[in-house]
Amino acid sequence: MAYAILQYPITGQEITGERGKGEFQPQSLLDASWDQRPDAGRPGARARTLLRDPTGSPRYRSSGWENAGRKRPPGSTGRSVTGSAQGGPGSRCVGTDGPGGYPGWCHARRVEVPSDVVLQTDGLTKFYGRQRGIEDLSLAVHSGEIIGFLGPNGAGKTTTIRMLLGLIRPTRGQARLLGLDMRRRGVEIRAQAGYLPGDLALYERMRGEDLLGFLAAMRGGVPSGAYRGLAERFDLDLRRRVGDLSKGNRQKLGVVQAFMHSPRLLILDEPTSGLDPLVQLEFQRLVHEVADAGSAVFLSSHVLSEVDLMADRVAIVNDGRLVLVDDVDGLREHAPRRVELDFPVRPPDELADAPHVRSVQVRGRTAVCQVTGPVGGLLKIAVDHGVADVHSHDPTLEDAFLGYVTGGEQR
Amino acid sequence: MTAAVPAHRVHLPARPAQTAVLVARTLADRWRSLLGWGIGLVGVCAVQLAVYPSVRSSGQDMQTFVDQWPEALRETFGLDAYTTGPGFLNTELFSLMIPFILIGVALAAAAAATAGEEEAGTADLLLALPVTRGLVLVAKALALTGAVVGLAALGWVTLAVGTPLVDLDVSSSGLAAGAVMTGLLGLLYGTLGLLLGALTGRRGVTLGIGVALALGAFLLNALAPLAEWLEPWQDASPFAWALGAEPLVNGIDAPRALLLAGLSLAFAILAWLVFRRRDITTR
Repeated sequence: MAYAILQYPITGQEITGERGKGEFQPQSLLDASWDQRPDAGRPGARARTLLRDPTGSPRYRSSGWENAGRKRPPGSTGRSVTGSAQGGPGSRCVGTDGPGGYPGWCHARRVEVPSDVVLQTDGLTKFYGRQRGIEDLSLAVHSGEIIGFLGPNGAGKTTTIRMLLGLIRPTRGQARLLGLDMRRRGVEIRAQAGYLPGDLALYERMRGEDLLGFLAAMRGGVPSGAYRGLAERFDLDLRRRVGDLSKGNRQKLGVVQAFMHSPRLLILDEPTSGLDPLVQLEFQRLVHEVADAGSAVFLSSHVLSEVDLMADRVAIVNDGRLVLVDDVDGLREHAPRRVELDFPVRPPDELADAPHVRSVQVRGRTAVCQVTGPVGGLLKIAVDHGVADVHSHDPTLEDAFLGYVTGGEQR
Repeated sequence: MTAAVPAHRVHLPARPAQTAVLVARTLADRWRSLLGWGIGLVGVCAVQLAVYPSVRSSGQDMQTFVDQWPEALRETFGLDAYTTGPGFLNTELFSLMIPFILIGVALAAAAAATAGEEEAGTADLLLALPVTRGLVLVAKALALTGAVVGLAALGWVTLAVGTPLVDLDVSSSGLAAGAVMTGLLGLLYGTLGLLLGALTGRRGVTLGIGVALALGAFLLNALAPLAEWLEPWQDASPFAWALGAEPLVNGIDAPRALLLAGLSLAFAILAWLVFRRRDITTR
């Protein structure tokens, strides 16, 4: 399967993708195409990914507040458009709600423009000497969007994230975060960004509340209610010294410090590592809430199921290159599907020539076909040759992911 | 619809407040270490002061005894005026112990400053805050300066209080001059350490190179009078700049003090320039 992301310029006019056997499909990959979605233009409307709740019932994540079993804070008007200029004194987040509540609801008071580009990179590249960290990364993330940045370890995820935060300098390329040039306006960007490092290190000797108090003070005074509320929500004891905390509790502390100042952009590097499943669930709710409140979330992971649960779109990187950007359903749709065909005799060779068939393996009287796309053509040939039985397996995201990160020539 | 987010007017935290918070935080983090150095400094001073009465009472005998020592030792530790107040202090405290305690404090703080945060991984947390690299370095340099100045002042106070108790005759301005010059010596190595830390990001390397350079400078200053070929190089040693003009007797030597201060500032500025462009390492 040939696939190439040709260009998504920083101006974002034209997105072209090519996938399948020479088919040309202008796919809803990136920013420009959002406008073409049927629900575009409806504020806040975005194709939401079906969530598979651990309880088994599917739910739409656009209703984050309800899912979280939480009432909207009084006075919050959701996504309604109120106030005038963003960021003016009047629209600053002043108060926070009570214990356990997330202060981010004040985002809802902002003017919501659904396709605001919160993060845009253009040819972002980092080489360590001759070794490639990440090369030519061009990507856009919108407000209210959760993008999963997915790839195996060492693919360049952390390199990218640390560039965005100004911790390392790009070799070339540029990025704008919150409309600001990464290279020049780092302080303003970081004032509005929350970051959870992948390899989280904290000041071991401080108590949790002192650490958060320090970070809050450095941010110009985040009200202590904000981080205390979050800590309570995650059942985190702030009186204990960081050095005495378990890995999971440290990670909670990392989550709290990343979210406490209601950032408009969240950059989370492997955020759920060390969190137990229940806490992961609460974390996912939190991420959905802030996205629903209009923040953009950039979430790196090598765990597919996690991205599946949270992300609207997925960007797959491998070996320092962006391989694909698609929404989760699209990714699944284009994953290779395995179809097994049983024949009374040796399977015919023509199967390999059927449309959308990537490969055919013959095992005795059974042909195992990898198909990307509709299987009709394959089945027609199979029927013509007297197929006896058909087994088809739904592609999983794992299949899709593995399809993209292995076998480079087939990409 | 795809217009970039209009850049908000962001309400940024005030830099002086951030600097103050970070300085306080850095000093608090080094509190135990500073306490240890401080106890050591006071202890060393107290012990030497306690010994002084017996040295003085032995008077000429002691000096005669000391005069028989090899020239190398006498030169190295300034033993020629051993039984005088300033001579005794110079030999026992200001030629080695106090400079090395202050240099030790400074280098430890410098190594912990940026290199230590990088090695611990906390640099990611700190530098992802709305701060500039420059602000972080300035705050770390201020904390380092505060630590060195504080310890130098502690030494000065200890001696200023202690010398009258044992009838050691030295002017308090002489003591102050000694504290200032050794403090500046500490700052010189501290800022050099900041530069090394900004260049390498490695705590151990910073400490190792810093200590090696300080030892080399000490030995150069101490041994230069003994070897003809080495003698012209004595003035290359910061120890000579700080102590060569005998501050305990002659007070602050302004040109040398300015040289130390100027070089310290230069190292700090270099560290700032280097750190601003540095790729922060991960663990």
